[in-house]
Amino acid sequence: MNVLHLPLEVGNQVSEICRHLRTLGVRASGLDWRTNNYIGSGVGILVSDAYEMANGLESILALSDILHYHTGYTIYPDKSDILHALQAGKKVVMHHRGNDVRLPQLARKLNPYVYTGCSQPAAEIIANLRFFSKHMTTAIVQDYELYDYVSGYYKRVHVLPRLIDTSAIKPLTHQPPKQRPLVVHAPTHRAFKGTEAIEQAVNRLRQEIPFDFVTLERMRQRDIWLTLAKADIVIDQVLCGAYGNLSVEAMALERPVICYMRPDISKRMSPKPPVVSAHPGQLYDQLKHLLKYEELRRILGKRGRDYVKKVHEASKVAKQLMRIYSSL
Amino acid sequence: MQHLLMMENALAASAHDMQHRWSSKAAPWLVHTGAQGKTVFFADWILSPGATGKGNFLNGLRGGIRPASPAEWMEWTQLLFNKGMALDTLLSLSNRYGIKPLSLWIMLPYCYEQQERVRLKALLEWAGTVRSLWVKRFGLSGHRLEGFVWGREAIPDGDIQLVQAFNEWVRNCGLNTMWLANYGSTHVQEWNRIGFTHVSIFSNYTGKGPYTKQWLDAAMSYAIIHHMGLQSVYGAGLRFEESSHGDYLNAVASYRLSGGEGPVVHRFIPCSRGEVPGPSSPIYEAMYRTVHGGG
Repeated sequence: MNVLHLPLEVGNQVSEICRHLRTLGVRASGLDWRTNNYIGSGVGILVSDAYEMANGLESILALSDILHYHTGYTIYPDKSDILHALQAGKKVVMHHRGNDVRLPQLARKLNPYVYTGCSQPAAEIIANLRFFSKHMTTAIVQDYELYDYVSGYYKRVHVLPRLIDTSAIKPLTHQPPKQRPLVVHAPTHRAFKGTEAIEQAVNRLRQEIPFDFVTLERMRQRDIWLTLAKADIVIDQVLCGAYGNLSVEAMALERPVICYMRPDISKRMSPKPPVVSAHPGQLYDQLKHLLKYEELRRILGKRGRDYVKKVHEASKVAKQLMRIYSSL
Repeated sequence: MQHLLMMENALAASAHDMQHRWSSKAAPWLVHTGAQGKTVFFADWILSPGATGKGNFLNGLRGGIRPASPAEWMEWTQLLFNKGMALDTLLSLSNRYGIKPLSLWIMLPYCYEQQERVRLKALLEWAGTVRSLWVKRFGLSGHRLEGFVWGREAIPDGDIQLVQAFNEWVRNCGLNTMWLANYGSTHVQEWNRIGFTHVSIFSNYTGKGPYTKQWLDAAMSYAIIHHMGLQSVYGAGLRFEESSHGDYLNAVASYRLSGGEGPVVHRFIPCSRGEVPGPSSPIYEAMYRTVHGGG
């Protein structure tokens, strides 16, 4: 089976998918049209651009059985590459990732805290979903936060968790002694992650409890992991209502995570993620509580890695994806 | 104005193909037979590897999906330089018809999934081997190895240092480098700064799809302003309206009349096995007229 992911990398997730599909005997590669992706690109990803991809469409179709698109993007601005792929007898699946489907009005109805400034305009999202679901039966989303935005369009929507290889990301065997706890936040988009609210809560609390706070931005993933591993608490995102890549990475490193989880989403998840939920109004209290109780942080950290191994282990997720491919 | 023909045609596929088919495919594009007898058609050639015998690719986007191994890099060298192979055949034909000097460009393999330092080393070793073999086998032939063509249309930020270092090495060898870029490629406007001797751009126009003829017109103007060359593309694949080739030839004529001074690279897309047009193709005479100023 030959699988091509396109047209972009998403937080190294595509590379990890390719790497683990390869261990299952799939010839998997990805193309990334962001020529300046600061997170870095991993195994199986060729950094390209939209024009090289457009000019290489014949090759793409000749060398692939399945085209796995991400984030609602296509090679051609009129999306005709999808039609060419289908005409050529290829299987096609769309993997929605967030702002490509998070309808602003609906999102705000479900969650008063959510930031939708980076979502595509509603009309565009709806037109895209109509086009994609007209030509594709199946979509993939990464969590239940996105599920509801797309489930009314496609015949089948699969929730495929983010994947992480726990053999490659391990907690430190010995945490270096620290004078004060270290709290880490690593926003890829400040407004979306709620960085301002996080900084406010942190600044207020620092007047009461001594701790260090570090914000990591525009860094390569491996470099972020080095600091995450030393963190006592990781704050992911406090507006969206579900956890992101950073939470998965932090949990894999046995670090306790604070992230706002929408109650209705938490209810649908099994097992439940051992994440301390906090929207901006709760953040100060939750962070204070965690800072006070080191033992609680340790327990949450252990539970986090167990959870990640159950839900996000790359080898398991790759097998789930194989089953999706088989159903196309 | 310099017209180059880019010949791909699965050149890196097999010695058997090279011995039995390459000569008949190449000859009509080297020598034109017409009312005035046999005259030179293209005296400037780019040899690009295409698919290897194992179905892998040495460069381009395709190599990112199915990359060739280091052993296949060396096989491509052998298919270029061994007796009876690409260069031997091409230069023999050229000698037979008195076409001298023939100018040759070799398209580079591209290093996929390797460390930066290793990539440069691999590239320099390969290019160094090609240069040495050229000197040894054809150094006194009277024909010219012009230099190397970069192996990708896109140059991501992560490749800039590699490109600059390679281009500097080539320049110090007394050779040239060319980039077959896209009108919209990142860094295309910096082609000179990153060390290329020439750049020739593709407009995205195919006669159908979202890139209209305006893209061809805009690419032509852009090329003139920024001292770039232009690619003239004949495609017969799913993206192409065959009549679009006529628009390309007209654009080349306009480019020339408007003072365009870069290399015009004529390409066939897709160039899988057996798909290079021959003299019976309607585009053959039209291309000849364009290249030799009659069209």
